[in-house]
Formats: sequence, C-alpha cells, structure tokens
Amino acid sequence: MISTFNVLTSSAVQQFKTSIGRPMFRFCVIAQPIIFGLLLGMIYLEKSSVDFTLYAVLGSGLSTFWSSICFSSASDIHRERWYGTLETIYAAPAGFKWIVLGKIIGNSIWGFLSICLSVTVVTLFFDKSLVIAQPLWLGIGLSLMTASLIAIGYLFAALFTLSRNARVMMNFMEYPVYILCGILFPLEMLPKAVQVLSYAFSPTWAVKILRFAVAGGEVSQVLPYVYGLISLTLIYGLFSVVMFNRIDVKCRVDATLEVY
Amino acid sequence: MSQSSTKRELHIGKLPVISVKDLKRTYQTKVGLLNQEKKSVEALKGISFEIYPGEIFGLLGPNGAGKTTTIKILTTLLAPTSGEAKVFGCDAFGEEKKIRPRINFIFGGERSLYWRLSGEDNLKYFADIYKIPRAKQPELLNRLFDQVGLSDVRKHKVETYSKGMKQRLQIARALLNNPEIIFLDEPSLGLDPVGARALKQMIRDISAQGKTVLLTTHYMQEADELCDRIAIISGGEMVALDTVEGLKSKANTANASLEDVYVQLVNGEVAS
Amino acid sequence: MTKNSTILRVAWADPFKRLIRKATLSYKGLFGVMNWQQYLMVNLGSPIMQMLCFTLVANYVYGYTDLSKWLIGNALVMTYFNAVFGVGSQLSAERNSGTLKLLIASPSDRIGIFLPRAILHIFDGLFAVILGFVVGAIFLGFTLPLVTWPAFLLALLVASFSAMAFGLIISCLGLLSRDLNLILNIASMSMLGLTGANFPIERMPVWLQTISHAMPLTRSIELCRALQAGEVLSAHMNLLYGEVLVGMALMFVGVLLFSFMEKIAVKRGALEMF
Repeated sequence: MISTFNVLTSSAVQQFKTSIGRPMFRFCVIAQPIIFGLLLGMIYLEKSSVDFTLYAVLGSGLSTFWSSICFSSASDIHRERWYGTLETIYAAPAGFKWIVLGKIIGNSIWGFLSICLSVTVVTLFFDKSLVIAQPLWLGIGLSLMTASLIAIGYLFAALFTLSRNARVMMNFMEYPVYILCGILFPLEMLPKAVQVLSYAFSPTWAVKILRFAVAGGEVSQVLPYVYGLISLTLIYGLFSVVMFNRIDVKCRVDATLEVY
Repeated sequence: MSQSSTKRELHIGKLPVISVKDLKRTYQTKVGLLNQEKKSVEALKGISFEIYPGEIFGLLGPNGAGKTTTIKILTTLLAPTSGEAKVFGCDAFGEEKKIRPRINFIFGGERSLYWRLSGEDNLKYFADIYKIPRAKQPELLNRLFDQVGLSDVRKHKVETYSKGMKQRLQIARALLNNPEIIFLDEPSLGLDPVGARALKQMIRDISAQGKTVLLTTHYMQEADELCDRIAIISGGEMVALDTVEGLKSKANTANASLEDVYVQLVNGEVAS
Repeated sequence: MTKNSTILRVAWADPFKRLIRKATLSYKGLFGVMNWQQYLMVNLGSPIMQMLCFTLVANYVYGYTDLSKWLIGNALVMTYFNAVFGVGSQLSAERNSGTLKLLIASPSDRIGIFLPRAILHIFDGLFAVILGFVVGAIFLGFTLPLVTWPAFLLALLVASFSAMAFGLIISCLGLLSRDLNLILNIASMSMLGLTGANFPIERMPVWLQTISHAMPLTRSIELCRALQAGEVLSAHMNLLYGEVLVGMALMFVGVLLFSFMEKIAVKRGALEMF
C-alpha cells in the first residue's frame, strides 16, 4: 500500500517536473490561458458581469485545463514510447496503471494552476467586476471538476495506450468538449438533442456547479449536479480500470506497445 | 576460453531459468491507404532453447531475425502467437507479475531514459516504480552510481551525457531491482571502443554476481569474448545453438573466427 | 524530328512536373503517417470544430442577427490551421527527419524549395474553408447569394495564399527554436483575435490594431463579410489588392529569412541547426 502510494507520488512529481519542460505543455498551461483569457475577455467585454465571470474568466481557465488534459494524458503515453521508456514503466512491478495515474495527477496540478493564471490575467487586464455569489461553491465546483478531469485523463490515457494514433485523436477532442459542455457559452445555445449528449461529459455538470457559484441560487438546485458529477467521475474511473486490465493483454497480443 | 567451458559445467543438473519451446510470433500489418490489406509477417517461426542460471547467453542473427521479438516476449512485453516462453518456470504471458520483479532489461541506443531529468532523478523514479523502499534507495543509488562510474555526474541532466554514459546509466537502472536475469538488446550499439570495453567488463561483473545475462549483439568479437553459449537465429528460425568453441568447429575453414562461422551459418554455407 | 520535339516538350513541361511532384511528395511525407480518416479529423475536423465553437460563442454574445459575420471570420481563420501547422512545421519536420540538409545542399533555388511546399496547402486551406461554409449552411443557416460566389471564391483563394506565406515565415522561425509547437500554437490561436474574426478590431489597443492590419486575413475577412452582405467586389478592390500585397511581402520576407539563416548556419558551422 505504502509502496503504491510512493509510486503515485513519485510518478506525479516526475511528471510535474518533466511536463513543463515540454513546449506543447507550456503552451497549454501558460500561453493558452493568457491568449484565451484575452480573447474571451474581448468577446465578452460588453456582456453582463455574470457572463463575463463565467465564460471569460472561468471559461478560459476551464478550457485551458481541458486542453492540458487532452494534450498531456493522451500524449504522455506516446511520449514514453518516443523516449523508449514505455517498455520499462510498463514492465515495472509497480503496475502500469498506477504509474499512469500518477502522471495524470502531476499534469492536473499544472492544469489547475493554469486556471489561476487565466483568472489573474483576465482580472488584471479588463476593467470588469467579477461576481462570485457563493465562494464556497466555487471551491467545491473546482475541486470536483479537477477530480473528474483526472478521471477523464486517466480514461483517455487508457484508450490511447491501445492506439498509436493518440496524438491525432486528442487534437480532435479539444473543441467538441468546449462546445458540448457549455464551457465558453451556455449549453442552451445547442439543439436539444445535442444537449442530451452533453450530460455524458462531466465538465457539463461541473460548469453547472460553477454557474451556481457565480450566479447564486438555492442549494437544492445545485445538488443534483453535484451527485451527477460524482457519479460520472466514478463511472469514468471504473471504466478506466477495466480498460487498463484489457490493455495488459491486448497491447502484448497486438504488439502495439511500442512504435517500431 | 577455458572459462566458458568451466561455466558450462555449472549449469548441468540445474533447472533452466528461461525455457523457450517452439516459440512463434506473427505480426499483423496493414498495407495500403484506402483499401487496407492485412498482411502477416512471421517474425519467429518456432524457436526453442534453454538458458541456465549464471550463463551469459548470446542471441545472434541478422537484422530482422527475430532477436528483439524474442527478448520482448521474454521480458513480458509481447505475447507469443504460439509456443512456450517460460521465465523461472512462469509463463511470460499470463504470469508476468511473478516475473517482472525478478528481471530487468536494456534496449540498445540512447533511449529509455528521461533526458530532461538528471541521472539521479531518473534512477530515483525508476527505483520507485520498481517498488524499492525509500529508506534503501540512497545507499543503493550510491552503490550503483559507483559501480557504473557516474557518481560525479549524477546531478547532471541526462541530455548532457555521452552515449557511453547513457548506456551506463541504463545499466544502473537495470540493476536497481537486483534482477536475477538481465536482458541486453544490442547494448553496445554505437559505443566507442573504450565505452564498449567498459560495457563488457560491466557485463562480466554482472555475471560474476551470479546473474543470468541474455545478450544480443552484432559484434562477433564481443559475443566471442563474453558468451558461454550462443544461439544464431535467422529469418525467425534457429540456425545453430552451441558454445563458442562448438560453433567454431562447425566452420568449413580452419582457424575460423566466430564471424566466419556466423556468416557461413547465416548464408547456409555450412550445416548446423 | 519527332524525337526532338518530344524531348523539347518534356523539357518544357519539366519544371511543372517537378513542381507537382515536389508538392505531392512533401505533402505525403508529412501526412503519410495518417490514414484518410485521421486526415479528415486533423485537417478538417478540428478546424471546423473551432469554427463552430467560436461562431456559437459570437452567436450568444452578439445575438442571432450577426451570425454569418462571425461564421465568415472563423471560417477564414481556418486557413491558418493549414498555414501554421502544415506549412509552418514543414522545415522543422524536414530537420527532424534529417532531410533538411539535403534540401539545402540541393541545387534548387530557395523559391523552388519553398513554393511547392506551400502550394498544396493553399488548396487544402481553401477546401477547409469551403467545407466550413457548407457546415455553416447546414447547421447555422449560412447563406451566400449565388452571384457573389465567383468573387467570394477569389477572395478565399487570395486569403489562403497570404496565410500560406505567413506559414513560411513561421516555418523559418520554427527552425530557430526548439519550441516549435509553442510558436505554432501561439501563432494560430492569436489569429482568432488579431484578424477581427471574433470581436471588432476597434476593441484592441491601437498598437495591436496596427499589427492586425499588417496580418494576412484581416482584409479578406472584411472583404468576405462585405460580399456576403451583398456588396460588389469592384467596390472593395483595395482590400483584395491589399491582401495580395501582404501575401507577396510575407513570401519575400520568408525567402529572405531562410537564405539569411542558411548563410548564418553555414558560416557558424551550425548546419546541424538545420
């Protein structure tokens, strides 16, 4: 148990240190929050304070967090392939799935920091007042969302270990989630049929909680979203574990573990 | 060379640590852009051999012969298509949990390390994922850095290391879990003579500690000096399996070197 | 006699054949690792998703009436995807595969190296934009009067050309840096704002507005919006000419930059830089 915890922390720390050395990751957690913050700030300049806070401030942060998940969890496996270390960590007694989970956690810390960065940039640059009706719920929403994004990242990592086309897939996953989950504009802008699909993605539920934190309201209104987010996160987690067990067999049978 | 014959005596009556029987591996590849056509390539067409504790066993053969495939199967990284691949009597595919803590491997070249981290950070990380207790790590790392002669650069980033230094760091990494078997896939690839000699000495040291070594290489001199027994595979099939002396005696010329007999065997000029 | 004329004809056609082969091969070398589904996703799927996303944002922010204005902006920005990620990463990709030194040492002139690389991407970019409008027509009710189609197409072609020229410069800058992806992404993402695709340029500080006017696409977006609103091309020829000029100037700077870097690299013995 303790050694598994060591594996998790060690892998998270290793990831935290190495990933920021990567240009793409640096873009995701440093440049993108700034550019997206400025861009969305400009777009939402003349909207209400609630909209501005929700979409320009939190939206730019959230979308950045999502991008960093897309561009790290997926490509980390690919990168281990590239370094030639995938075989080593795969065959390590610690268990591949724990090592990968550690990596995702390490990346997510950066992702969370990028939210802070975009909030700072937008507040500094624009002369708009931010509204947070329920600061406590902002905290709850952000923590639950972080946990959920870790679970998604984990699931992605599992899916992408099985595929050599990880980079291609993850490139494609970025914007559909912005659109589907109502991160940059209200979900209600989408057709009803599409909205149903939105609820399969946990960021949708997280955004609802954040919306409540910003705009306020009755606690009873937000609770269903909290339960929904927690359940989805658990489902993702469960699914990931199943996937990782499958990987253990499949990539050795198909010889897809390494590039050559 | 008398050394190799005495060593050979050692394993008589011992159980093999690695046993491979009629091992086959087929790869499926896709050809074509639109109408993808499935094509299968037989990398291993049924090879068999056994390796005994403490041996340095050489696996030689041309590029594409199936050496790396064999090593990947034995290191639990690849499933066999058919046949048997056992390490410590456990199936390499299915019982890998029992095997992994007791083996380690190095694939040649400069990869398999995190270049952006220091040598020390690399070893610390791998020590953790090999579940080495934190309390034992500092002493272990000191010893390993000493053993591979990298103590003075352990804090430097791996990207500043030369090829030989990277290879030595890889060896240190592979020794972290005190493995009973070490797989070395072309470890001397691209090393200069000095680096290659240091590597050979390290392999001898590892062997002297009672560890079993499975080695692939393209340098016949190296195989000649190091290996107790050698298997030559070509096109996925076993061409010969014998001691170095035994192999040399197969040659059709007098005073043949290992290289002579290798070339003759691979070209089918002499019968195995 | 006939033999001679054949040779002549072949020789006459050679530069074109070479151009086409260079263009297709350099394109294949880059995208050959993908199959066609992946190609659709990377080259068309994600740009179109970006377009939809920001059009929907604008739709919410500015209200339904202005929809096509923002669709046009975001559709044109798609040419940057091809320009920046396709053309912009080309030289670095060549370097990584170790083929850049071969190119440099080849007798072709610099334009001969550059141009073929960009040409297919121009059409690729054009295709993406047109598909973007089709998607816009299906899902967002975008319409374009039939009479304006030729002028619109011309405007798009010019826009795609100047975006590619921009890509060439990015390509050179990419060689100077290990952080190619950082440059590519910053360049591509900034365009969402700098070109006036998503908010009125006047909202930006004056110095940024100046940059905006020196960038490709800013004029084309304005032109396309005017055409879509029913105005005639002849009333906005200055925008079209402006865009062509911007493209040619960028192309010139790109070739100059490349030759300059080549000289420096040879002088300093840093050819590994390539």
